[in-house]
Amino acid sequence: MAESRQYLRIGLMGVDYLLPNSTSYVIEKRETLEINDAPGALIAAWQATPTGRAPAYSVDANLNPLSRHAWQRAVFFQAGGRTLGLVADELQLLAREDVRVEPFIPPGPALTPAGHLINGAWVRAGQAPVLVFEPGALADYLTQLEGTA
Amino acid sequence: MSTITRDPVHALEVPTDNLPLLLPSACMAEVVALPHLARVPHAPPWLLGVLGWRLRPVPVVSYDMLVGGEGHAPGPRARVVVLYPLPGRKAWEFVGILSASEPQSRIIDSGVVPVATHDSFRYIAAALKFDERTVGIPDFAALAKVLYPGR
Repeated sequence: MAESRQYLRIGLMGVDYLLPNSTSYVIEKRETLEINDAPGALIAAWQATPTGRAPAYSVDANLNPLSRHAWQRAVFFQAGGRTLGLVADELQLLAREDVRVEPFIPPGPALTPAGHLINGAWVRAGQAPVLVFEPGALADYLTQLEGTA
Repeated sequence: MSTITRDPVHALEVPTDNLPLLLPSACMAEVVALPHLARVPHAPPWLLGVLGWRLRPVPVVSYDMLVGGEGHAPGPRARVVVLYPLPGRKAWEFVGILSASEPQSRIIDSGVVPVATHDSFRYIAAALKFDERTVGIPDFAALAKVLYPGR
């Protein structure tokens, strides 16, 4: 059964993903963030928060760490009491009526203790499906990346 | 060696680089051309991607890579055999199996001879001899376990 939610389209190097509005998120422009200019940095910037700062991670289309500097916006989302960010090439809020997401859990083992990174997909005729992030698992995954960087 | 004496069963022979698969027609929803797939981040090598089929997301699996064989880019003749959900899976969990080329129709009847399976035939319930070729009928329960571990 398709769910009726609003989704944020996140473009990562030519590949789109969706983030559901089951989590709260905010889009920040680069100039409002504290930029990390360290060579090879996994964390591209930080967002100031009331309790400190939240990292914005830079990854490629396959969610591998990717250091880059030509980016303009990041989306910060909350999951499991944490705020984490993701640097994106494109960010677009999609109208609720435009998106029909079907449940989809990929075969194979889950990548994080919180489960699979993907828990849905938007299928349109003649186009490759767009995969939907599970926010808690995405947050776990990004945090794991920091531990391995 | 015994022969099969039950009513004939319609099936499709699915070419692979390893052991050709024989899939009973009743298990299959459709055979489609291989379109552009959505890649799943950090998926196992055998999960080639996600197919949009009848507005449903369907994972596409390479049997060759699942059994440890080498993978290569599917050619222009490649097809995807969309199977109904495996045993124990939810009604929306269709799964696609990569076919190296167009599957061929086969009838399993009394003229088909079962042959012994061996260790290299992974996730295979039974093997049959068609002409001089050995084909394998997948063990769908075993496939469900390996595709959906812990679920």
